[in-house]
Amino acid sequence: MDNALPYLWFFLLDVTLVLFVILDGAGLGIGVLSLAAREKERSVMAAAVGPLWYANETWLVIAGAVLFGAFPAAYAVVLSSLYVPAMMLVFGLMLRAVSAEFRDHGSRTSFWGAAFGIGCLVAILGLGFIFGGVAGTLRMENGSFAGGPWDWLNGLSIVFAASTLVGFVMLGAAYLVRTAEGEVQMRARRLLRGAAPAAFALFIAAFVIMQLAHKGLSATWARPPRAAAVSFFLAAGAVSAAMLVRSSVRGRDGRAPFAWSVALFLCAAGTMIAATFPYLLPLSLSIADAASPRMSLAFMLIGAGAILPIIVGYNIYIRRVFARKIHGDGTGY
Amino acid sequence: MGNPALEIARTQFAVTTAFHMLWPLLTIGLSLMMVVMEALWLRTGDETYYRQIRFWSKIFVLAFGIGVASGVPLEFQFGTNWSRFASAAGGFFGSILAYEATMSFALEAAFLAVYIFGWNRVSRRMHLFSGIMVAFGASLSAFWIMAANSWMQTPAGARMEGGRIAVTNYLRAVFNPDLPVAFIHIWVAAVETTLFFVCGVCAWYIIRKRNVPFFLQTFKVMIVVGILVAPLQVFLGDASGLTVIEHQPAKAAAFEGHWVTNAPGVPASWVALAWPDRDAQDNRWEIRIPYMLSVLSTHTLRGQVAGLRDFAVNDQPPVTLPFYAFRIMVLLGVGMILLIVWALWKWLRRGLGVENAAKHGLFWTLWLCALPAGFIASDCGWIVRETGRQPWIIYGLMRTSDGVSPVGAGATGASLALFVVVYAILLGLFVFFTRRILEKGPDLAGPVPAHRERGSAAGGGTAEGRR
Repeated sequence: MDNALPYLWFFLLDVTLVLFVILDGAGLGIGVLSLAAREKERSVMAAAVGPLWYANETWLVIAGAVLFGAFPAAYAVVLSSLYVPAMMLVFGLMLRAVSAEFRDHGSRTSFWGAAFGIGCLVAILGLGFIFGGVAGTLRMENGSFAGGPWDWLNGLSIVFAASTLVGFVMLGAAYLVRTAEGEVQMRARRLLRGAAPAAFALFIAAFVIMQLAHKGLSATWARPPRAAAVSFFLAAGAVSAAMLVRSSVRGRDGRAPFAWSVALFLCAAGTMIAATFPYLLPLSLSIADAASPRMSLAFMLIGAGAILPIIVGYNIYIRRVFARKIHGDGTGY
Repeated sequence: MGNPALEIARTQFAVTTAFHMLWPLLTIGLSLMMVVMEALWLRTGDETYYRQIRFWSKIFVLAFGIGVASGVPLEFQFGTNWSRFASAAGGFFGSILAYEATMSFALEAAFLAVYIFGWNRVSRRMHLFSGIMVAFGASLSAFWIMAANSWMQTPAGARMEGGRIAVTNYLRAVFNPDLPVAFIHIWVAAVETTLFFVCGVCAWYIIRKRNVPFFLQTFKVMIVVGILVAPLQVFLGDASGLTVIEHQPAKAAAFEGHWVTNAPGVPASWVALAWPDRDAQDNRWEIRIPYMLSVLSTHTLRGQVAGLRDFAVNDQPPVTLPFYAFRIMVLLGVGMILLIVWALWKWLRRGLGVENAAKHGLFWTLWLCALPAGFIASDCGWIVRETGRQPWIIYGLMRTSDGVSPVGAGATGASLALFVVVYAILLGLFVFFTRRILEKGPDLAGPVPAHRERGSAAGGGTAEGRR
């Protein structure tokens, strides 16, 4: 039972990261899309993101703390070796917060609207390069990073960052189809038809390059039952991408594209996890080795793990509160 | 002190934390204040309380946003700049941060959305509940952060095993000797800081003779709170000092500029003002008050107090910075008590009525100037606490120089410069928008949420509709 704890925490870490990407990813993607939008559309987009982005950003803070507490060795290596992307994520999020504040108070709306989009773009790229760094080859000695400050920038990480960016934009566009109306929704539908295949193709490219970068990685999963899991997720991903394109045609149910884009994202995450398990950093740091002492993991499970379902519960309640359409001045701010 | 990367990493943490902590101080205090006002509104039906909440919640949202924006980098800094600390202590320290994120921050952020944007979407009762959750989350957040921080000061229930921290007793580690006093001290500091911020804003309006009844109401509520809180803080400061003397005597000796242990039976005098010189292991000049250090530190006339020279030079913390930070904190604390006493005296002599309140210019000018007093005092206290812990990152277990990342000074320096720029923008943003909120003033005429309207005895504020 004790040996299951690191894997349980690995699962919870994946859950928090997935929730962050689904919930805040759509908001970040919409921010990038707003860079290409006209003034009037921008305000529709801002309204679509709504008042919930603080609550969404919580999931990143939770994911970071879970990684810190449950896998401190990985937390230390990943963040110190990917210093620049980590700072891109942090400063991108700060820029988003600052510009949202200025924009919502109606001060130089076009300037701060653009700054909002740039903040989102920088944050997504930072996150993408962190994914790329984790999937790539970090030079380590004695559990500490031993490379240079620019090691994070290479062919593999660029493909990962590009695929993350397109993936987030896709999530954002799908979310707009769900919540917005009129011109904004129509343009989002059109965009989705290109973004979905592009996101899927970039993901496949990232997956292949990752196999090339780690000789011997494919040998670890190319056997049953893991081969079955990897091919299942790849096939399901292809189906989701196809369905996403189909559902984004005008006049169809506005909720379907977002559901399919979440499915596509889950398939991509599933493929990566199935192909790298039981490693946190492919072939160099395993989940068991990176984990805190079992006592710590149990201690953390009591206080933090047990709370996660409660958080999901009240977040669902809050989403319900804000999903109801009300008349008059509903913003109250 | 030869490692520039270490010094830059320390500076970065100091700058970012000193800035970040100001906002939770304000949001903890404001959230409590708003819960009290909402409860008063629901009880008395006086809608001025509702308008109070709507006014102060605008500033609350602003402060909360800046708090989140400046706080997220802190969590990541443990990994980027202090990776060896993170990797050695993460099992415990990271767990506590995970407690903070899941139990409190998530709660606060989620219910804040309902609290701010949900006025017409949920019942009044649910709205009050959301406010309580926001306030509870904010305070619980401070509890967990102080649990993590005080464990670095008095790391109970843990030992070093092969370069990694092994926790032997989690309960003792969380409820370490420093936690109770440290948490209550900072929590009361949050209330006091907010009190002076809020009263400073009230003074701003009263000096301008705008919305005088409205802000006199706020001011009086705050003075009642202040009478309870300010003396309590003196007591807590004393208790906190005794904890330091017991567990971190070098820190206490440093912030008192006390170099030589007094001989048994000889009273220790207190250095009121001095210029400490670490190289000479003495003060260049000093002004002493006899008996006072023994009295302050041991509550006896001739108690013995360990001097800094009892510790090896490489185990001594910096002296000048904590020495002066401590004195500024104490001075501000005393000044704040005097101001509250003055306000009380004035109130008892009926000097705080709507007609005559604005007459006393000096009184209100002083309150306006005292607006940042709590922020400065809290930052000073924090400087004493953290520089006094040096050269340890985990007191007695791990040196700060052993906790830093193997990252070059270039990367850390560049990000430090960026932090300074961004935080300056954040501060500018707060000042800019707070000014705008103040100039616009409270909304005294807008509709009150219609849910379950009680027969309200429309509050005094509506008569004065100046906006």
